[in-house]
Amino acid sequence: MGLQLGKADDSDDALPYRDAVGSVMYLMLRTRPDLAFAIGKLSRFVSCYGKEHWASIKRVLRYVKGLLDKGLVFDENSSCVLQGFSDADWAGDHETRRSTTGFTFIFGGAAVSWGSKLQKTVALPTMEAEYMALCEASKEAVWLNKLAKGVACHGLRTAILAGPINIKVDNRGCIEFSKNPGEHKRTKHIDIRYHVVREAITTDKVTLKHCATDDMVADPMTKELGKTKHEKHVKATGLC
Amino acid sequence: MDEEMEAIRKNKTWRLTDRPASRRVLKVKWVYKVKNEVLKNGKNTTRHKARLCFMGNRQIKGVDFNETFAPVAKFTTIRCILALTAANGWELHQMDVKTAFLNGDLDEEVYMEQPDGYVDPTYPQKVCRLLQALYGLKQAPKMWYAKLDDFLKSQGFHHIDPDACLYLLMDEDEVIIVLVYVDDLLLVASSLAAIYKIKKALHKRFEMKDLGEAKVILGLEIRRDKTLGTLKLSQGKYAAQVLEKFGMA
Repeated sequence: MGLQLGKADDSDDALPYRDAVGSVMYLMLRTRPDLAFAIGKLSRFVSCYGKEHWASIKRVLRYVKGLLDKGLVFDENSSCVLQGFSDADWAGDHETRRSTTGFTFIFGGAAVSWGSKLQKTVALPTMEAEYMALCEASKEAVWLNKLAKGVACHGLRTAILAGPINIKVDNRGCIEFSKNPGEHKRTKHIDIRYHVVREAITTDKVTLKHCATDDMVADPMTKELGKTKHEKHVKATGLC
Repeated sequence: MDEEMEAIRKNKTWRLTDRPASRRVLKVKWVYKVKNEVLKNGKNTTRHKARLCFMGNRQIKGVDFNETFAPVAKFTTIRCILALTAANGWELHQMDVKTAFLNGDLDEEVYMEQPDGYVDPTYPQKVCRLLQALYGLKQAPKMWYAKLDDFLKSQGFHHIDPDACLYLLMDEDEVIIVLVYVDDLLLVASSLAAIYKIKKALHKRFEMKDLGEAKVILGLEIRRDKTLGTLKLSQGKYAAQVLEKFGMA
């Protein structure tokens, strides 16, 4: 879906666009992280859609048709340590030049939590977009960490690891910036609210690790990818 | 209809009283539904269901009810628990509570007219003072949740902070987990014996329907392969319905 969609002037009420987006969204929220970005993008147009938007959702439906029975497969041989991935696509939205946040958490062989979201403000450097994405991922990690701790303290210590949750990021600048509270000219505009990342690190809820873009499982949450890459990452989220 | 009235009678849902002068008397309505069900032998049947519904739309906040919020389990929690289930080879069963909302105790004063077709012939002028919750009542979900919460806590379960619908119990090295989604309960335990134990306790306290090993929960299909140790969570049936709706099947 390397498609650039603009707002249509008038919604064509004859097309059941909203219904279709809503129906696929239900699917995406429960078992299909691979649809997250497409639905995130198409749902921006539920009040201003035209024929091209309808054609796009039809394309999503055709994709669903091809992989009708795909689901999350949890596997006893997979690692029972929560692994997070956080990524951003810098200035992905062509109208506003805002960036897209994406995150995925894998546990026991498949994704348990995921999200794709257009960021609220324009990010200047790519590092800032990544930092804003990491903020969303950290918030989710803090909650997951609480859940893991809650489960562990009731006797399931062997079943779940309640230590800090590792999040993989493919931007070294972003990792450095999260650890290093020094302010300077290029980062002084970054809003205080995004520093929940630092707090999550200092309170031992989150650790960061670098990974190559090719191994970034949250990549398809932020942009349209080519078929091979998309399939590779979909497999890594445990969908089969 | 008789089945529903029987459940209501059994629960002592209301008591007939004289019409109160200073309180509003609200109405009830019969709601009918045809339900498709899969029997244990795999055959499909249809069941005609009648439910007596309180017309909660006429309730006024602060007068007829106060709080209405009831939590449901988050899907992230459900997926995490299923991952743990697969990882540890635990048992996964499912139950639902029959006429769950009729179990909630009502602490507010609510009156209603006698239901159509079941008016007491000796006292047709009297009205019903609700003692327990009824479907449609605004506070019914909250009251049901409170009741179930009390019960699970009395059995030694703890719920944990991040998700109020996840209950855990560690009992003689056995792990038991209960996930609550209104009247659907997902039971996870490290052994079948532990599953039976919690089922027995639930049967004793509430009117329950045992659905055996969990195959479909909240529209999610669960397929387990115990030899491979995998658990698959998918929505093929729902996806097919969506495609059909948009003429793409």
